[in-house]
Amino acid sequence: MAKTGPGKQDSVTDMARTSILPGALQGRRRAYMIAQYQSPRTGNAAPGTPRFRSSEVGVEIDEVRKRIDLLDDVLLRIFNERARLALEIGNLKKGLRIPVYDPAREKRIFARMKEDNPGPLDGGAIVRLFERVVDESRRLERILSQREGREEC
Amino acid sequence: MLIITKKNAPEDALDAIKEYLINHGFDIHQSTGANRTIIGVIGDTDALDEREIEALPGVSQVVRIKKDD
Repeated sequence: MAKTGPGKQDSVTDMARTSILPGALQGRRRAYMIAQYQSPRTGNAAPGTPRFRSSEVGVEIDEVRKRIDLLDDVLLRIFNERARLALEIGNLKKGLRIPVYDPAREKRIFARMKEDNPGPLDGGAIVRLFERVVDESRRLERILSQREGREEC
Repeated sequence: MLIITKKNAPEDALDAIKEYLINHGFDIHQSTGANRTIIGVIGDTDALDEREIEALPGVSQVVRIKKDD
């Protein structure tokens, strides 16, 4: 493990300062990093103090991953609920003989998402994500429509 | 099959390409880039005539994916 010494402190705290972690977590990480090579008695960098304790950083990574897993669970439910609603629209359109493909509606979705996007993903990334969502909804609609067509025959 | 649009192809040209593919029963994966859009055509594209697609306004290139690879 890399050893630290006087003069190296700024580079580590700078790294913590520019971390992409959310504010509270970033603050905790920063405090942790500073504490790693400060002597509790003198406050100076303790010679030979490892720059990082990999096991503790590993625990932090696991904590953040758990949060990501929870969000993924929510996304899974949301994607499927959205797809169900898209199918509902598809059935209503079928009854009214309205075409499935509605480019104006799709453009409004992408434009609205881009406008309301709080980041850190940029507008292009948001549009690409929603293009995927819309493409898959359309695909599901086609599959079910074909299935119903076969059942009617 | 991949369809690559011309640089800054107009929106209505892109809509027409997608409508063509959807009306022919294909699913698409659209990926919008800075200047161009790439449309992945999902399904058995053997029946699709590349020349017919290349003739559509806004289409720059049609790339067939090799089956054997």
